[in-house]
Amino acid sequence: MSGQRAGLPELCLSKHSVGLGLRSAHIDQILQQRPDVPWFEVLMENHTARGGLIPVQLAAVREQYPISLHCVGMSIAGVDPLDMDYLATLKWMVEQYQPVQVSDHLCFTKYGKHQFNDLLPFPFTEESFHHVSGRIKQTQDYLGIKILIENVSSYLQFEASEMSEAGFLSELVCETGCGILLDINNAYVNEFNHDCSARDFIDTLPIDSVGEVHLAGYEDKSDYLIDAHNNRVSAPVWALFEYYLQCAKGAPILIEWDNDIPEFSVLLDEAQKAERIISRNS
Amino acid sequence: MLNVLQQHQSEFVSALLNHQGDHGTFVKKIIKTSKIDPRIALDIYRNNTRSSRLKSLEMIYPVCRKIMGGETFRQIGQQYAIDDTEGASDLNQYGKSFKLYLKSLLEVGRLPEQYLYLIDLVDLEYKMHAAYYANADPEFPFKRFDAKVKNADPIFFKISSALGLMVSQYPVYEIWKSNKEQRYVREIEPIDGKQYLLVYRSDYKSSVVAIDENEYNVINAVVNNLSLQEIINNTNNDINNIIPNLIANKWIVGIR
Repeated sequence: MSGQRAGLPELCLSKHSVGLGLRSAHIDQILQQRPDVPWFEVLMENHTARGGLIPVQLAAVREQYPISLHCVGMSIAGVDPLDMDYLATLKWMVEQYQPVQVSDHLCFTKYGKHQFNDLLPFPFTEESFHHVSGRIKQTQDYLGIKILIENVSSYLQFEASEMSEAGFLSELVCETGCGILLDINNAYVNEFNHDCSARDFIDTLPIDSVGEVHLAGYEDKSDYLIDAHNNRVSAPVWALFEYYLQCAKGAPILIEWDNDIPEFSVLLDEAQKAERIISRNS
Repeated sequence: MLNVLQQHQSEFVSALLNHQGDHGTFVKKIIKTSKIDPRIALDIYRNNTRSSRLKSLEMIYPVCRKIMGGETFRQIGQQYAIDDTEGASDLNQYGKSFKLYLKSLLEVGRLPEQYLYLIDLVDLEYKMHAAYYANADPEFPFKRFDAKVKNADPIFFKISSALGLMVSQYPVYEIWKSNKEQRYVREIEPIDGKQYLLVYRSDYKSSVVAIDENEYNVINAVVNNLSLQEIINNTNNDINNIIPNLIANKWIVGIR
């Protein structure tokens, strides 16, 4: 697949614009105060309702701001058939809210009747590459848009893997035309947990294909790190972000904070910090 | 055939669901050089799922949590999250069977008998939660209704997708309301007769109202797909007052 697919509005985000995750605790404040935030990322699964307050609020936010839709349930590496009900809901949301981007993770979340509310890794093999690339193509064809695939934090790696996660993602870009959502926190968590180089990870990715960048906070368990999204971005992740900026092409940046949600001003503060780092490196 | 991928996912999932085993076959598939012991890694993944589910339960059942106490609720909720191996991709849809889980704990004596009313209370809380996320309803089609009456066609009503109906031997409405208002109700006794409750959504908010037995019977008949004529034949209710009231309140929203 090549070229721009129909279906999404033309990207209207300025270079390296720093957006925030939209959380229900902040929506009233956002709608009342209209803070100067270039865009918001919306967790698809939290906004699938077709009645009541949720779609009304999301439509109101969308009127004021560009949004991206971030998904956790495609189970793009799962061995079950693609969940067409899920994709139909996503397609409805794309048509309804006209996001500038749609993304999900390089993982599986479902096996048979079992749903996991976590991002489970799989071995990076030739076999899984053909499987995942086929499912990405099928998803993009059905939605009529290009999607972004995000690297995940992991707590185990498989002997069977024949390539790295970065190599796998790079090949997916070539094969399917999808983009990459580069989660810098995840890259750092994996560096710490698996003694691999996050810089090598970034260097291996086709940087032109990075369509969005995530920054988040991890939880330090001393022996290992958990991708918890429950606190401020940590110093090593900011440092890795600066490294990324040296070769970056201007993809939008997101401050991601999903648990123990703080005051909105804390998110704005993190966004301003990201902007300062971007200015320093431009 | 997805031999390697299928096998890895099958064994991974099996290891996640079986907390007690040594998972030797799966552990052999994991790279040893990682800093994290494979069994700890499995626990991290288990805990991530469990925490997400517990967070959903705490959001859906705030009054139950307040009555039980946070720590008891956390322990019960975590065990429910472990025992419920299927889960839900959309966590807004999670926890519907929590009521049955509490019932099973009461039956085996793992929850004291004084908590019997909690089964109805969590039923009420789930209905409130479901009403919030329910689909939008259409406007009642008065012209189509008039035409059906004129042609003497059978009429089957549709209720609002937000509507929840329940009957309880306990004053669950008062318990729920008191706890919402920070007034604790500690001694719960069964009431004389039954309490009929209806959950609905109005102005984007879930609400609950006590209804009388006649209204309950009519709405229940609509829910059970009885035609208007059957409802008239089978009840002694004052249909002429009840049905227009249900339509005016947007609890009956259409005809099939």
